Amino acid sequence: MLTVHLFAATAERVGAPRVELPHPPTVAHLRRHLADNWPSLADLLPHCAVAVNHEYADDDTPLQPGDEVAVIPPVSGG
Amino acid sequence: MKAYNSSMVALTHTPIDYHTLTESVRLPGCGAVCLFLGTVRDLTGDDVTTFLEYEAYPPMAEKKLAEIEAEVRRRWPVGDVAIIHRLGRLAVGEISVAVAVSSPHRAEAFEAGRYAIDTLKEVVPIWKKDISPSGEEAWSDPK
Repeated sequence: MLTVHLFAATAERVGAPRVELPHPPTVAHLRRHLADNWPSLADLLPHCAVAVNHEYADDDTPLQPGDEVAVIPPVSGG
Repeated sequence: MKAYNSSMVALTHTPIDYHTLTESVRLPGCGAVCLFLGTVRDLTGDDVTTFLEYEAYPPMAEKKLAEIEAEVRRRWPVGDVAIIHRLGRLAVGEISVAVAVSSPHRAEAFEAGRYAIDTLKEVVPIWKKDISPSGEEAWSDPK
């Protein structure tokens, strides 16, 4: 299983700060799984980045056991 | 009063002491110090703000802030750099972010400070929620 951290609008839509899902092989698989299983995220996900081990990751990035994975909605600091 | 270390990047839940932060970057070889403060604005277009609530992904936010500091040092001959971002609930007028840069001459201090705040707003995982007088809440739509 993989724990995915959620923040701001994504956490609010799911109603939890993290979700668990079967370990996806890549970031692209993760995105698809999230959209299929949490429909409230579907329209927001294309605007979100994914971070793996605190670094922005593109869709081809493979996910290894133990990786820290997070969905990053559009940032608005400052 | 909390003392700030020089070369610091940090997230904080307590009010930002910008005087101490500014002092932390002052150096004998630096004739210029540039301070940027971001403060909570009362209006965005026609929408009235009562509070902003800031949330972060702390380990990644601290990493990205450290990368901004390193890039500032790589690109400009700065003496010192300090960046601090507040989290939690902030009222109108409170300081949400402070960037202080010192350098031998003013051009570098202005440029480096501008780069630091602009890059922070683009890449650091921090979010703000806007809370209106009627209690309506909305995650900020980044511009």
